[in-house]
Amino acid sequence: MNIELSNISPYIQYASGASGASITPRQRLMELKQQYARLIISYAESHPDIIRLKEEIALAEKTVNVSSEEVSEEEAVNPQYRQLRARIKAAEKELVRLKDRGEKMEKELKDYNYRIMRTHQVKRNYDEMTRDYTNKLEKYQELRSKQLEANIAQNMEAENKAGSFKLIEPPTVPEKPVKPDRKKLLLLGFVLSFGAGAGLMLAAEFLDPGVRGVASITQILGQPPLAVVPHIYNGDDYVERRHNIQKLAAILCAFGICGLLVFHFFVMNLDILWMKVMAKLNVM
Amino acid sequence: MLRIQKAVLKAKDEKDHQTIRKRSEAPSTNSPLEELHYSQTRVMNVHPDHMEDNRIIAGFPNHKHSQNFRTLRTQVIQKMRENNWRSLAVTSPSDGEGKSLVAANLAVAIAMEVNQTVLLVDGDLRNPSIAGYFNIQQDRGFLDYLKGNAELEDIMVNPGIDRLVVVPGFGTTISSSEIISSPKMVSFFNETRTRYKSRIVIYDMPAILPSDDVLSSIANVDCTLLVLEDGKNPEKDIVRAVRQVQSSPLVGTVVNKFHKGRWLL
Repeated sequence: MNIELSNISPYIQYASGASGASITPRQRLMELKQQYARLIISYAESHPDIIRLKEEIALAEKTVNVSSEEVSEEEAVNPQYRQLRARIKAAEKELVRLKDRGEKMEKELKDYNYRIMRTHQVKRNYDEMTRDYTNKLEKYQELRSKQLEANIAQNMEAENKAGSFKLIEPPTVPEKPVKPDRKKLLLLGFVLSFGAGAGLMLAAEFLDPGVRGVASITQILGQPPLAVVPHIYNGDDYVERRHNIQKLAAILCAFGICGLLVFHFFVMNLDILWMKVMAKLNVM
Repeated sequence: MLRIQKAVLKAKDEKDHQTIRKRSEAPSTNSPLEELHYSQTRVMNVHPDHMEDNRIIAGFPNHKHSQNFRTLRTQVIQKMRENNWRSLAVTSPSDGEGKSLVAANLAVAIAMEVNQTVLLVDGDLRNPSIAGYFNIQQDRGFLDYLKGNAELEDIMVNPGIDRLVVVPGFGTTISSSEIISSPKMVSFFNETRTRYKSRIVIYDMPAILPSDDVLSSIANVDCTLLVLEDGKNPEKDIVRAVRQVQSSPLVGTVVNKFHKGRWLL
């Protein structure tokens, strides 16, 4: 565009008087000077044509002297020239703007690369933070629910229902362990011992090869027994039986006492039981 | 107890009468076996309390178990009469099943029948126990008779029950098997069986399985009564015992010491 501009004169093109073709300022100056030389012969100095010519020559000289580069805005009268100049200026401005934008873009690109580089680290941080957040949220909700409960309690207290929250007795360390449950173990042992005894008895009965009962003897011999005689007891036997009964009673007594002792030491003191029973009786 | 004593006294009276009656009926011979109930037989009255203590209860009609022995007696006598059997061996597969007790009670029960006399012989030469049941105390027993050391009339005893004569055993021997199959024993078996029609001879025999006493002598006895203790013998023992005594017919069995839900004793 600058080249184009340099080809275009900033001044208005003048058509040459003779040929009518457009000419450069220098040619026009020469032309004007020749015209002036011709007219001065026939006309006085004060003749208007001469004056006009003089003025025109001065102007032409000025034009010739001044180079195209130094033409100011006001001086450039050629509209084409002016238009071109304006376009150049616009293009230059555009160029500057684009350069600026490119730089900016490059900066952004760098920034983005940097960010991509940091993605993993950021992700890790993010995860950590999320976890922390969840934890905190949970804690928060817990606290929140506690607060709600507390609020309810406070409200109830405020509504004069506070009785149930009064500490009547401070909690004490339990006297007995929860496990092992000696009572249950003892009971189990009792039951199992009796069960084992009964089981052994049954086993002995089953394993005894002796033929027992009238029916089985009948089955073996093919005829029923003529008579069935039970044990015949005499005085000694009755004495022995009485002794046996006494023995059994003694054993039962011992058992009972053992049971009471076990109850006393493992379940509940007997005097406490007595008091409880008496209290129950009194209530009734 | 007073009642039983009365009954025994009454029985004694009856016996005296019977003795007189029998004496007039009986044919007179020299064999001591024929004179059983008469003057030769010593009478040792056993106190009823002793009898009860020794579980000889068949003579007490009021005793709650005497009916069992009466039932047994009736059945045994019926069968023996049917087949014309005179001698009966009471035995069992193993020891301690109550042979002697059943034999003694059966003898007493049979003797209670008016028309029947009983001779109870203790055939257990190793371990005699009949004398103990009737509280008989004397120097010599059946073993001495078999060895030739004593006469039969010296050892025969009436324990105070009518029509019952006991041949008790005393002492013990290792060679019981040989003695029980000796000619003297065989002749004793035969003589006692054939001599009197109205007499039943009951032999209290040893156990079948522990020794061969029964095996070697059972053929001389008309029939056998097997005593089985309830729940003691395995089936194979019973079968084996029955097979061993098959040379003399089996009258039947008695289930002894029958348990019916008694815990104590």
